[in-house]
Amino acid sequence: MFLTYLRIGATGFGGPMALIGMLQEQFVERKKAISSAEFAEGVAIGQILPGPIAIDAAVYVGYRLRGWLGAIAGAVGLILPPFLIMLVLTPLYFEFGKVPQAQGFFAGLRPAVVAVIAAASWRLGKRGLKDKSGYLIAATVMALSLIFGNAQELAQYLPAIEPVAARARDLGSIALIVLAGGLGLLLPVGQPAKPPPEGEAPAKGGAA
Amino acid sequence: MELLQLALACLRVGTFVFGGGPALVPLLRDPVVFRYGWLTGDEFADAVALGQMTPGPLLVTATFVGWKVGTESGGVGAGLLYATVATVCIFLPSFFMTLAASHQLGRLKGNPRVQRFLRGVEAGIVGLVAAAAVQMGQDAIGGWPQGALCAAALIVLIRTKLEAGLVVIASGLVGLALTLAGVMGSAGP
Repeated sequence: MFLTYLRIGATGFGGPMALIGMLQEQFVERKKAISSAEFAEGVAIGQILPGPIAIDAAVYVGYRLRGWLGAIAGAVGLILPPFLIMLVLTPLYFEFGKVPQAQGFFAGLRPAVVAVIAAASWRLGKRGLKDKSGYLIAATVMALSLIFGNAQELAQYLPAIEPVAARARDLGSIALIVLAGGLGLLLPVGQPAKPPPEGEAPAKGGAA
Repeated sequence: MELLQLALACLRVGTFVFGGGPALVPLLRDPVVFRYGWLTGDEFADAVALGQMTPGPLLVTATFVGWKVGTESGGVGAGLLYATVATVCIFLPSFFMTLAASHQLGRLKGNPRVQRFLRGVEAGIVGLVAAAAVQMGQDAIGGWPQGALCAAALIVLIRTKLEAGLVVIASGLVGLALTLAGVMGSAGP
């Protein structure tokens, strides 16, 4: 089982959904070790909880099949291959990153990283923003994050915020995630504007 | 001391990285670039790129951070130790939460307050990740060639199903060609 996880971890390009597809193929379809309903539950857990969906699902499947050892096999098996690859790439980066050719390569690579992040936001938005409250929360968090990120520049014009400027940038993202959750409790996010007809469940946000 | 700071920072990030990989970028950037200054902004962008090129989750970007902090404080041995600690700590919270939730999922999903909190978080992450893209764009895009690369990559990523790691590598190769041709200056801070 650990070897199966290792193989998936080593070949798991293509984002979380590709990894989940491989897990499903191995454990549900080929080995028939776990039912597809149980597997779906593992994926649902992954979507609700923080952390990569595929790791959560792998841990869940491992736990269901073999208890604690299975859970550890799932996590370690999936993480070990990328971890080792990173351990090879990182020293290479610090060894050769200052070579002029490498500088050119990385100067061209960074704009694409920005694009990857922007595209991720776009994809998350298509899935997660369904109504005005959702857009309001996203816009508020984005504006505050940009303000926090430039707080020290702003402090030059507004000396009053100087003492909190550095702190705001340090903890900004976690505070904003908690704020977004709090706003979710206050605003009707993901709720239909009018009560739905009897027997029709409102669209579930997390289960896309 | 730094090892403890690194471990705590990674545990915090791992606890709040809702919605999978992308939220890692703003969350990890806070401690790593701003609070402790372990990585420069450019190095952080490169670390995310390497995380993108490896299979599996983007969270292995933490390995890069651990290696750099460790090797600077005590050579290769410390680099391995710090990289391992950073990686374990960033995955640990979701590992335990998954195990805890595998008994409680029904209750979690049924609770309307949890639902609404999570919907709020889901919407907030969109804004947070968008802001991270804007801020990292301010550093990474120093001229029209970089701007064009970013726009082209964005179109490819949204319109096609091409692997993000491949797009990143392709963009790096174009950047290398442009630099050799003298069109694009090497990245200035």
